[in-house]
Amino acid sequence: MRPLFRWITCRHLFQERGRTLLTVLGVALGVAVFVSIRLANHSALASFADTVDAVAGKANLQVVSDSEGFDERIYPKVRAVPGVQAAAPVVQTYALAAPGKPDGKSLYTSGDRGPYNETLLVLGVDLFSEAPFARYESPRRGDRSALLDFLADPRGVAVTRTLANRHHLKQGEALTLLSAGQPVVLTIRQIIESQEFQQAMGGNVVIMDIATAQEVFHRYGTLDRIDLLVDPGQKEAVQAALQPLLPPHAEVGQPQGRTQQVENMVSAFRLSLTALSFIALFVSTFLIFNAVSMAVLRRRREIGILRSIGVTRRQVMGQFMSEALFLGVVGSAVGLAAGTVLAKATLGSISRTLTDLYLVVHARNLYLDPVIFLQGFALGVGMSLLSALAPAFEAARTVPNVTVRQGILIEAMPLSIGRWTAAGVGTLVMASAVALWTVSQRRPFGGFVSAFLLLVGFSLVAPGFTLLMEHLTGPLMRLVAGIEGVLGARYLRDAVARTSVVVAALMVAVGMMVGLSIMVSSFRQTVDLWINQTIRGDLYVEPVGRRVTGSATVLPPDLVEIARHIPGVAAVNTYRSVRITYEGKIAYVAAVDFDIQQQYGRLQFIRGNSAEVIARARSGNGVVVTESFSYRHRVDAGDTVRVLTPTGTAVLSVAGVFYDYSTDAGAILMDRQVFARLWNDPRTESLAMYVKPGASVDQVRTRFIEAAGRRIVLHIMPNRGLRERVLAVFDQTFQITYALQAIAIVVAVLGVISTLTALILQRGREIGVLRAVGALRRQVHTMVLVESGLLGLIGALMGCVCGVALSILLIYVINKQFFGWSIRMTVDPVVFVQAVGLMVVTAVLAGLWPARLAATRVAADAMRAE
Amino acid sequence: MSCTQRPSILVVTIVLILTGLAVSSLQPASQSAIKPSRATARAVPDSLTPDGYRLALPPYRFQFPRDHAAHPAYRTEWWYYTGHLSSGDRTFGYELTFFRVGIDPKRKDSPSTWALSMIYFAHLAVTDENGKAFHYTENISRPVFGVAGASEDRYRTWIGNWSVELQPDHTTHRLKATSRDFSIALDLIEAKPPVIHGFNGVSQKASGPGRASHYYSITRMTTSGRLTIKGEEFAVTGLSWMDHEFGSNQLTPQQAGWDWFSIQLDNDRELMLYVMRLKNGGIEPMSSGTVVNADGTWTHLPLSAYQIQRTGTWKSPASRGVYPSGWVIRVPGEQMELRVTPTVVDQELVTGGVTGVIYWEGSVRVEGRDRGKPVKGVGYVELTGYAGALPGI
Repeated sequence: MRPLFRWITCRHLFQERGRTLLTVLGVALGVAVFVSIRLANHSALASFADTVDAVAGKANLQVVSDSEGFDERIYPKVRAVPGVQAAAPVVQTYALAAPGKPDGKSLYTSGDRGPYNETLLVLGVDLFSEAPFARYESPRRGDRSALLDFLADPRGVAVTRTLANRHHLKQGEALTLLSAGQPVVLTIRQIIESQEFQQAMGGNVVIMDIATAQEVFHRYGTLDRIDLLVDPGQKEAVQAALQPLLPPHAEVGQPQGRTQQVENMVSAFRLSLTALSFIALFVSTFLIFNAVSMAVLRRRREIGILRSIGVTRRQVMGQFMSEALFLGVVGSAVGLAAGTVLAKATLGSISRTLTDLYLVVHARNLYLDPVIFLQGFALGVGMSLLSALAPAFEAARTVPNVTVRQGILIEAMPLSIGRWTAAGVGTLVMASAVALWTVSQRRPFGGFVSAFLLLVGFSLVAPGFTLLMEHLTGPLMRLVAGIEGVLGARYLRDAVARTSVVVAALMVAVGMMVGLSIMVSSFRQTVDLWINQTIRGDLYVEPVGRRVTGSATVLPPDLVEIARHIPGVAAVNTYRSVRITYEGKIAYVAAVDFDIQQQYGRLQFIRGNSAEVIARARSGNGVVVTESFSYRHRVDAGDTVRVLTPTGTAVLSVAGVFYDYSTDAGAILMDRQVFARLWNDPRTESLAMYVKPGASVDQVRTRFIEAAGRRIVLHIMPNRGLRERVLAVFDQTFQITYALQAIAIVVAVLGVISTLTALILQRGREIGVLRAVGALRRQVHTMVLVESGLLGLIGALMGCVCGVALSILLIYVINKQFFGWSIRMTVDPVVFVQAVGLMVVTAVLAGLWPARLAATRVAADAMRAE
Repeated sequence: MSCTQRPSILVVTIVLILTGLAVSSLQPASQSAIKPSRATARAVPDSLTPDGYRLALPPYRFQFPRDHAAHPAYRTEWWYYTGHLSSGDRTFGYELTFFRVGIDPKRKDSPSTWALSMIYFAHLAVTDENGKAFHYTENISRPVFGVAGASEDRYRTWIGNWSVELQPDHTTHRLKATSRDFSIALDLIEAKPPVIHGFNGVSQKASGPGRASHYYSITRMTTSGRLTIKGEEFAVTGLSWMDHEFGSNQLTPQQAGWDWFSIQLDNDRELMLYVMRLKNGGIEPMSSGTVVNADGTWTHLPLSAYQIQRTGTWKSPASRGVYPSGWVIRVPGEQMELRVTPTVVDQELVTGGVTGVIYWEGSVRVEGRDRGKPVKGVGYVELTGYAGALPGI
């Protein structure tokens, strides 16, 4: 019996190879999206962890601080703590670099980095403290004098083999680094061969003497890290002894702690992507459900025969389950391969987004984690089996005598619409309850549970909705397409058990598309509005590379004065920011001139007018905080924040909370003088110029360029340029979302095609009868097309409703919980028109081929059975 | 700070700096000779290297204890202690050396604390002669935040918790060095006055002005203190030898390595000899030695006054270098014939794959005749350039 059975299964899969292929493809896509997003994310973080590991070497404790470093004079004290076996001081920063010598050009438009297209991790080390850490193994035998050259050359640098090969650089050749926009030409004295450093930052690492690093990056008197080798037995004791020696903004911890911190920082980002990829899998599941259901319906007679010759229910069920298993296994396998390819393509985008939003991540290589492959495979196969369970069980219930009554439309199974609908409504109520609970409890995960329930609920309501729609559209169809239209519409009702599956699949796809569109476009509009209100300066100046090097970048102090004295300039505001740790989480402190901010700035405060709030903050040496900071740390106007600074813990009163979408970590904005005092840092990293009414921005720009000279490589952006750049970062961040949307639609379209084909092909008899009673080919054709079009329409309409619900969830629950941003929901009806249009057209197109097939069916063939 | 398996950069730097830097300082000199830039030539006085270090030129009058302390006007300087210790029936050899090397005097102007104008490094080795075991480690640092340094006004040189310091009595040298596995804490009392090598306060290393160093030894120092090996502590007494040498351009690129001997005989006489081996297989004619009498007077020995005959070789399993192992030294003018035997065959310092500079520095036993009478003694031998090429050579 068993071989026969297997043969039947194989035969079916082969006979319907087109449909099999589509289903496999659908599963593959779902798995591919899941795997690729996980892989790309994992790779970006693994690359970061590798960098941390390579940079840490054998260090088992590190003294670190926030972005600004700490006073180097603690080094001898740290070194002298009992239990410390070795202590290595490190100056660490990021810099843009170009191979060779610079081209002398000093101005680039926004986003253009000229030849400076490598982002490098720069490590300034004291080689004499390094031996116990065993990390900068490099000079090969016979290459030893290079080490002395390296040490003796105050502008010497060591580059990784990877970087050297990429740019065909050799010892003795030049590498130009941008330091605060100023090109510094270094000589390559050493090639780093150590394997760890080829992995770290994708090989984008350079090492220089610690003094060289301090000189090149103007970081005199500070260190960014002290790496320690500590007797493992005394780790806690050493840690405790060290802490009182350190300034308040520095801390001592294990190197792996840094990776953990970063993982926490990007967890929101990662989770939201993973959740999106689950939606793609969800859509695939529908596809399998659909495929197996169709198979069950089509082979009802065959099942009847098998049952009457003694095949057990269990065996019938096993047959369908093994079909699903086959589809799941093949689909998942293809999905894993496709996912790997896709991950490679996504990696750059994810890396860039993480760099834009959080910190420099430079992933070049995929880290193929077998766990992710296993997960993807298990999910693909598991969901296939799960979704096949109900139809297979249903098939097993087929009664043996069904063969005798072969003329009957057996597929019109009794379906208790009422119960399904009730279950659906119940699930939707549950979804709302979870959403409300999430908001009140601030549990971010609840948002995803709610979204899942929402999709399930809407799917359960699908049969009811289909009937309702048929009821409503029936008369309309009669008007539009005559009797063919009525028949087409009626079939949807009669075969609601299976058409509603298609409707549900379409609904999920459209819902996701609409929901994400509304969320993203609302978000984008909110950001756009915010940019227009907030960015008021006429010209913005920053050194090239500020985006990657962050607060390590500073402008020459005289540049601010130069800007102030240019005719036509009304005011110049300066900007400075550092990353801090606030209550164990990463946050930012930004400093601007409150005087100018009060006069010219237009921050949007949740309560109060910009000038008034700023004036209040200025008079009381207070601060204002971003909405995400306020949300994250539950701080509101009138409260105080305790910030760890190099000069001690500062207690600052919060004068107001303003909207800001530049970082979800949250930021504290203070007056530059307060910042300069607390951080001992009067420097400026970028500036904004306000031009006098009537003066020409272009003229001011030209004069500034003349005055600034060629010594520094700058980005000078007009107001519009900066706005565009902010939006570009935004779009970059949502690129992956757009890609997911497209994939979900592809999966849904595949579903429509596969289902409609099956639906029509197995109705050969019915169509035969129609033809026999005089239906014209054209009429059959029209009937089938009406069916498909209606299916598309119903799915799309439900999808729109579902999408709006989903977008509310995304905007008010998920986004708010993860990022703390207020998004003003704006719904553009064009989204609905697009969704409905796309689905109906796709459905009709998908129906074309089956319609033609149906129309050409020979009536006699079908009649013989009757 | 110390790591027995990986004394990486230290040894490289010894040889690199002694030889490599000499080469690099030669180059500008020869360039200015080619180019007719008299202004430059005149700007650098004859008594200085092109980069501004003082050359070891005669006459030099040593003054003690002042000259025990540092001489930063010269590029390189080292303080070198070796000795033989015993505790009951256990005997040990030890070596503790501090090096000061100028890298770039201009870097003193940098606002960075870490600017590399000078580095300090040190070596500690202990030979367990009964256990036939050899332990060594290194320490290296730039002179930042007082982590390493050498006083000029009084004799104190240190890196981390390794130090040598002249006590207020002006005759006791206190040595301290601790590594993870072994440590020493010794007081050395000068039993003889310093011996000035060479002529006019200058020990010539090759022909040419300034190819020399200022070099003296205290050839007999009574020693007592503590020695710890792997947690086992010994109260020890014994005999030590101190070398102190400073100069700027003493070596040439033609040199392939050297064999150096310090010997303390039980008749209260001592002998210092060295042979500079050249790349062409010959011997530097300026190689020399000094024999020290019981009353502290000494005699300079030119190369022609002594012969060193190798009596055996030892192939290092670690570096595959083949070293001489065992010698017969003859000083006919002194009626001296000494058989020199290593106490432990393997006293090779093998640095890691990174730097790859390897040399042998170890305690030896001496037996033979001096002034015709049988003598016994102890000594230290240093052999460089036998395993792998030396940088710059």
